[in-house]
Amino acid sequence: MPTEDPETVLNLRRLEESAGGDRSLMLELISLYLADSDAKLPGLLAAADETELHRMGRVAHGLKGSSAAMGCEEAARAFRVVEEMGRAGETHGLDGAVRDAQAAWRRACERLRSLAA
Amino acid sequence: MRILIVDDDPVARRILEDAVGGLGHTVHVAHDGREAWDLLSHEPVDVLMTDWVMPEMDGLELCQRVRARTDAPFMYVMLVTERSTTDDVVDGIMAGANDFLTKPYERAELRARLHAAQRVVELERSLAERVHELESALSEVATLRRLLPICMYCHSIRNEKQVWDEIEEYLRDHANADCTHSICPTCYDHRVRPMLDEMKSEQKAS
Repeated sequence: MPTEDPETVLNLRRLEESAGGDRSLMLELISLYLADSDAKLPGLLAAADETELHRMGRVAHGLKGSSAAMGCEEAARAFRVVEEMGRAGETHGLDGAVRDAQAAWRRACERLRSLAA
Repeated sequence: MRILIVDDDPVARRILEDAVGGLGHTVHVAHDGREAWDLLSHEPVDVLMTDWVMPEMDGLELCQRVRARTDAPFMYVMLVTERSTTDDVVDGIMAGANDFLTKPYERAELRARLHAAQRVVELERSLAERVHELESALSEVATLRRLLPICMYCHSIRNEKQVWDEIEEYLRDHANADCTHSICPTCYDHRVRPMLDEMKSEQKAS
């Protein structure tokens, strides 16, 4: 089961470090992340669906990086699993890994939205 | 310094742009390696900070292209990437990177690494200036070597030991050339013919 520890869903210290302690930059980053990841996730799901593992791995790599920078550690870890499966050409358990990543990403987005509200 | 940031991820790009700009550097931004490569053709840059995995042209290829330029001033290259295994570091350095910054990073580490980059950039710049000065001096020496100090009256030449050689001797020593002693048509007309005419006149008179 994926963890729902609030600290791993969103590591606020990491996000503040990325924003250099600047609240307005933090809000800008949240807005950027929400828009960018929201645009990229359908591509990841489609690539996984079509077993386009290389493409899936590349999208997961990007989502992993931005999630890590935002302090969304659980999502970053889940996207990393998908990225590695894409790189290794591994299809066994892929659906579950993609579902976990999507769920972790949703939790992270929810926390970010509430932080920005 | 003039710093070019290359990253296809808008979040990573914005974070780096803010952190680097906040340190007082001039920041340029590109969205992938191709755009960065185009920008480098007309924008002077001291430090290139590039992500590795990007569409179009990745950071490794960008590094290789930058290092293949022979007519451009030195550029410090830092790979800013999640990739950090020993193999990644080896590949990055072999492609021409000077340093690695692993994402996600602390701003203090970024500041320290840019400080190190600045030292190298300044060192390279001063080295390039010294090389330029030396090249100018060498070219001056070469020009001076081509100037022969020759006496305007007797045409002796002053050699490297400051001794005046006759021109034949100088040419033999420096150009490995022996001289024949001929008379050119002008000298024949102006010097030899008058002497011959004078001799003929003397013969007739006697």
